[in-house]
Amino acid sequence: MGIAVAAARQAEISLPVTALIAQLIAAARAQGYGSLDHSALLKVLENASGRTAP
Amino acid sequence: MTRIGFIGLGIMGGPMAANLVKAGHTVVGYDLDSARKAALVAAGGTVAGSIAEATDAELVITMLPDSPQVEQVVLGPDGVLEHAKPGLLLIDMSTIRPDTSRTVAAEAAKREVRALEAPVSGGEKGAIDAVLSIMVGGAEPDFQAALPVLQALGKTIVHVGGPGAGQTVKAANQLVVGGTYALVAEAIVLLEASGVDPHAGLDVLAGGLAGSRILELKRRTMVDRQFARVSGSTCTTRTWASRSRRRARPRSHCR
Repeated sequence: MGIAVAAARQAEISLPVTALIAQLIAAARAQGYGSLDHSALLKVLENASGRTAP
Repeated sequence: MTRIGFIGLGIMGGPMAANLVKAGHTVVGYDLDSARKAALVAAGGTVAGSIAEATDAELVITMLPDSPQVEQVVLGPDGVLEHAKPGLLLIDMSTIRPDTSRTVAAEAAKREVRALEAPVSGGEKGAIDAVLSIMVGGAEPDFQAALPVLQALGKTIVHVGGPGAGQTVKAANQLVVGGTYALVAEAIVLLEASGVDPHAGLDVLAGGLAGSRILELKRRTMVDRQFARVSGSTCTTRTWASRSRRRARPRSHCR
């Protein structure tokens, strides 16, 4: 996702949703999920709501 | 039958090199990791002791973690371009920044090396099954020359434009994949928080306008919280230059 953000910067365009996703992936890494598949964004988003898997 | 140097035998590169062997090519692999090299030998390939040795081929493929590794391996001292004979076809299949691919193409042209970038989509399973989607940037005659080799690796192979175009398409692919994962994740959180069975809910979504390959292939494992990659992590802190080199600093490559 860092590549998409860099490509957008180079093309001098704004991709706000891409930037948001890049930040969520940064949160995934910071929370220790860096070795997982990107589907682990679910962990980040349930943590944001203070929820754990039922 | 082509003599192919293959640099970077990781989670993606390993099975791709093995598929080239299966297709009848002579594959000379190079990686920093000896276990990965041993795996290629077990698959019927041979290994090189250096980048220079792997570059002694008609075609060189690189499959590396990120832009700094491609810069080191291709452009750096003792790298591919330093050892390449004029006319070599170089296909960088790494996912890197489009501007790095354009730099590689420009530097390659100075040495009469024909450079293509050909990042892939389809993951480890797509690499193993040789069904990758391959988005190729570079000159049309070079694409035509590479096509028979790429057909041993993937199913959907499209020449999308000049240098950098393949990486730009890959970036677009990544943002659609990442965004879809994020929205499916939020749908799961909403369904569960509302007491609705997420399996049943996502089954309906998968069949409607919201349907996607990600919902089709990943909804069950996401709801079941199975996030592990098929065979471990792609994180690596190895660097691709000789360890004494100043530019070679370890960094993480979790993707």
